[in-house]
Amino acid sequence: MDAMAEIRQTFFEECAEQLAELEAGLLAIENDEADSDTVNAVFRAVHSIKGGAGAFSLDDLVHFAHVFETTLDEMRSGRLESSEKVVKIMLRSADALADLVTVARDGGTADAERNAALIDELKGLVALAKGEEPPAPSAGKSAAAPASDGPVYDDGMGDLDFTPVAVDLSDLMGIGGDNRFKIVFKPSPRMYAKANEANRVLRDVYALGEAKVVCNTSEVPLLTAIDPEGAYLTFTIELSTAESEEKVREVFEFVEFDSDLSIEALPDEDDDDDSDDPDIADILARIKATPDDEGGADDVSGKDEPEEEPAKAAEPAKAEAPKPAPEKAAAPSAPAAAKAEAGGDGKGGGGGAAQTIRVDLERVDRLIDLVGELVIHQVMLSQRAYQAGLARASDVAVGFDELEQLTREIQDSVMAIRAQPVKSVFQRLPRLVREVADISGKQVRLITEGEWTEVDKTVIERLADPLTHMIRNAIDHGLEKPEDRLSAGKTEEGVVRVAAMHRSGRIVIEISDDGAGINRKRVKDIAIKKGLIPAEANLSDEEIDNLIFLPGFSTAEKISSLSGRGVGMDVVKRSIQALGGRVSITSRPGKGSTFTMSLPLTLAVLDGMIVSVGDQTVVVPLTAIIETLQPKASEVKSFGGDARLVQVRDNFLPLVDVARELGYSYEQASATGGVAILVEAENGARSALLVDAIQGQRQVVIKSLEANYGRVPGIAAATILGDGRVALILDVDAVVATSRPEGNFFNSSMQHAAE
Amino acid sequence: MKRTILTIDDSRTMREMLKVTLASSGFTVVQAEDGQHGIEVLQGMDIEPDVIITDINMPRKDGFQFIEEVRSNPSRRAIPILVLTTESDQEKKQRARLAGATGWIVKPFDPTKLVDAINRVAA
Amino acid sequence: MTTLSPPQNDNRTDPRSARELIAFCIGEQEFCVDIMSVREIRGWTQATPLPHAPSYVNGVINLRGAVLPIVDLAARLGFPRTVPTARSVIIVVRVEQQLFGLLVDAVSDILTITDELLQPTPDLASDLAKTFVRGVMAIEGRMISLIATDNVLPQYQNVA
Repeated sequence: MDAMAEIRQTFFEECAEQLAELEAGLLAIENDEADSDTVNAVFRAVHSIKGGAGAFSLDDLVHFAHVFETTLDEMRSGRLESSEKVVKIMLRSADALADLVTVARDGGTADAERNAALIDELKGLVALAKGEEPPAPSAGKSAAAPASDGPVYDDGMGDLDFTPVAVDLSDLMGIGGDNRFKIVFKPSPRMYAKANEANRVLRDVYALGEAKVVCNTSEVPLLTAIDPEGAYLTFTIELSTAESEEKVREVFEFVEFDSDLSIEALPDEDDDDDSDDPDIADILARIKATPDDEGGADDVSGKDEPEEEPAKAAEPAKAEAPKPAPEKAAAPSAPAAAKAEAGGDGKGGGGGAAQTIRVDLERVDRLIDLVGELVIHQVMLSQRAYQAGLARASDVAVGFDELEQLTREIQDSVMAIRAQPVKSVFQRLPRLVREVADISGKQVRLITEGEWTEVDKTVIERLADPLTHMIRNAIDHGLEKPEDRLSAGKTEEGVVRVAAMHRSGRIVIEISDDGAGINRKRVKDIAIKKGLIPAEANLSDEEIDNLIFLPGFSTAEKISSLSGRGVGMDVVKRSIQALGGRVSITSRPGKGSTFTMSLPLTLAVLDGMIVSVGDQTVVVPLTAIIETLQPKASEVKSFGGDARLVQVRDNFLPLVDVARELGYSYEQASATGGVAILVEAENGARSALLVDAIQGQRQVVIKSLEANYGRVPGIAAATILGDGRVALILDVDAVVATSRPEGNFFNSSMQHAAE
Repeated sequence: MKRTILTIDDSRTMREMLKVTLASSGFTVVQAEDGQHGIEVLQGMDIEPDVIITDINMPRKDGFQFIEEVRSNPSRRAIPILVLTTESDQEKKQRARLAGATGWIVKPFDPTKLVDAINRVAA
Repeated sequence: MTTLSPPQNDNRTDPRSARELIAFCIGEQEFCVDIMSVREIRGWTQATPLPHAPSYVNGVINLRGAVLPIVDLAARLGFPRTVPTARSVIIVVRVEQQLFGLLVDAVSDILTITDELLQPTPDLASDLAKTFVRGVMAIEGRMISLIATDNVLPQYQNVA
């Protein structure tokens, strides 16, 4: 990738960050949680996007960002009140800006009509702020069309050409031309305080053409009286150049306000100059005569100042400068700290620039892989040492223990590098909620909590989709229409709350709404109608609620534009399960529903129970395990054909012969010779996995089987054990499901059989 | 000797763009992410940069405040400082000038103009 | 591990169409694969069997932290399954993004050949063999079959 393409990519990455910042800021303003810095940050976000877009000639984006920025500037200056209406327009503008960024990145077309309308609205706000008549709407005009802003926007709005006019050093040594100018240039002490130097300016003048410079030293006092910070020289320049007066003025652009300057065009003919000048060499000699002075006499323009130590000279400039707002420097840490507290969990906000570094994710991934290897090798090494007869009490054994401790700590620390707050996903939710609310005609307030809760990046990336669908579902199916809410004695505006937290080594995300709750009768009827459950099924409230996760279940009687995408809750559930997570629902009629999804904190390691199955070693994820027991002969019952049940207290649970399920054995294993591991599948159904023996519990590094091979039924992934061999990680749900081809969603009938 | 430029911009895109442009013209580039960071970076440099290029609109410490702080140290008055401004806005330029900026560069910049600007203010 | 004889220094070969091949034995027969697809050659280690895998997949082994499937090439070609011994060899090959190992009896040679030496697979070969044999060549009185590694892994897994 060439450098520009890389920068372009950086630009779009940065745009995403700025857009998130913009939206978060606007939402804070909407909720009255903003301070002056929020408005500044919002302004800067748009400003930054515009700046980058300009560099890539993304004209539509520049134009829109510019209008938006101008409006935000009015808000920043306090002239535009941040009323609800204003913020709503800005939020929609933020969405439009996001779309324009997407179009700039991926191609396609933006909604020009909407953008043009928004531009009109934004301009209207500026006019309002300025106490002027709003400009005539130009709806329908393409957003790409140059702004015809007229007198209302005299603050640079019309100035969208962004021609780089600032500086120019023309072709090296200039040659003469037809234009002749007489320039009188008398630097003031202020000029030197800004690191501008007369000789550089003169050098640039030389570059324009043929110049004759005369230095008037008449004001230079005697050496003893020279103020080292003073400025005493006046240069008179006659310039013959091919360049325009504008170009000549440009040379003095940086210094014109810190000097007396006059530039006048001379008539074409050769006039002899009348000014009789004192000898430059003379004055330079006088300066040079000072023993401790290194001022050079080699430059025709003269080394103008003996020293550059103009402490006093800077004073006027400083006094004129606007007072820096003292609270501004300290402010940014405050909201970050507040957020950290609110989140309770994880790190405190963005923090200072000096405290973070950006690292290529690949490097971190590589490090995590390597540390995974290190853990495996450390275990392998100590196992072999003990096998070779190392005494547990020996110094070497103590060393191994310490090494193990250290490797674990390194692993935890390295995993922490890749951990990220869920904020990056939560940030996308407000827009989603706005859009879904719009389409479904509902009023929704989104509350997010725990956005600083951290989870491994691999999980974050795959969190967005299920979360999106669950929020869609909460608004589309959970919340009632405003009129229904009113008649139910609720406020028109429904609330969707999304909260993240850490709970027993997993991340839990709750999505709750204050809607009508699950209509259990209807859900059950649908499930029966669709043949998902037998008509006479006797289900608990909880079981009915969980029916919505069944494949083929959809409560929407007519397919709405939201749920018509073929994504039911079953798909959501499956994608969460694929991450090693689980999802459940609780609902209270009239009060609302809460979906709870829990996910592992990382997809890189897993806590597992290491078990023997035939000659093989298999890992059972600890999260699925409830308890282990050794079945007695009297507790094991045959149940038609090959199936067996094991009695655990009052329930009979299906006994799954793991060796047979995995094809490691064709014989039925003796139930009493082995160990039964009670597991709970994601749907809450319980089973007992029959294995030969339990070896222990251990955290294992998850290795993909799919990278080099493919999916293996009944197997979630692989890992490498201490002996260097590959062990397979059991997919508990899949094994349980395939062991019971006739089993329906609930094995409740079996559980009830024991009652 | 290679000349060193300190660039200060809160936009990663701009920082990268400046870096690529300047590095390909033979400058050594040192970066900072905002005015406050710029001050810190400057304090940590063994040799003063030949030129400082700074953005104006930045969190924590903006370009104006940065320039004032640099200029408040007498030994740093001779470092040329160019401000980057998206606006061809005279007011911004004048504020920058009053704060002590040596000159300015209007974004988006053309690489040759950027290098010219540096040559124009650097010794 | 088997020692490899040095590549043939054959002046007749045209460097433009020359290719290097690694030759190996399965039972009495000799096969070869393009050296460009070979990542490394290593000794046999016990593989972990994969449930529901085809009979020619021995299982997976740990290749420096990666999970590497092992294909019994003899079984894949329709011959009796190899009984791996300590002297068996795994040729690690790469096909696109996937790495896998071919279980063979021994590596026999490194050959430099030109494409003209390659003859079409004779008709009497089994259909299965024809799927994986790109062509045959006669080298110093030996017949060596060139294996196309693309289709060696079971295909259906990749659809997941």
